[in-house]
Amino acid sequence: MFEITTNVLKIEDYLSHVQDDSHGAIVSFLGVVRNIHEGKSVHKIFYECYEKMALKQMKKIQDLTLEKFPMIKMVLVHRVGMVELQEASIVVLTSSKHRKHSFEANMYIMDEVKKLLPIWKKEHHPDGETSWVGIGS
Amino acid sequence: MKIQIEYFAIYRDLLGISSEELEVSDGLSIKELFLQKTDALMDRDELLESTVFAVNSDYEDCDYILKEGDEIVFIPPVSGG
Repeated sequence: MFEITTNVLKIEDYLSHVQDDSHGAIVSFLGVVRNIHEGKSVHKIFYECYEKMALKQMKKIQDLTLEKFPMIKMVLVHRVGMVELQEASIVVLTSSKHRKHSFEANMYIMDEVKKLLPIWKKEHHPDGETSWVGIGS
Repeated sequence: MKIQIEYFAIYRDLLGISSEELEVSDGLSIKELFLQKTDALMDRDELLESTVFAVNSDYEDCDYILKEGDEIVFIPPVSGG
């Protein structure tokens, strides 16, 4: 399953989607807001999203992942709006019979997220300034 | 013909607008549309270098020729995750 939400992300809210009696491995990845980026202090990040397209691209990522790793179950959730320090902006869960496929699929999903999802970070700095990540503003 | 442009992230900030409906001439490419809309921006060439394009929620090449009713988005570098 995949979704975009403004809610605080908690792994336990999504675990049931990857639990399976025949799966012995669950890998969870949480991307969280850190306090520094390229040498500049950050105290929160606003995530903006072109939702219609992001959902379409998430479906594509899910399809690609399940084609490459048909033995796994997966969850991909991205939070949008303002996210505070150490809060999660993304949760990726993968499960499989053994750990190898769960780890590989989890990495693969994150790599595709970084390439495809039309989501943008606006960093908020302690001095009140803001900046879009990836391009000067 | 009419098209719709949705602006996000840095483009919304730089152009001060979140969306607009536009009448454009037949045969216009998405790159030409981008150059028209960003004509007044100082760092236009740098922006073009790092921007990709979406039409109706799918990525498209800069040579894509606009069609009636298209929803266009200029996509600056994505930074999800």
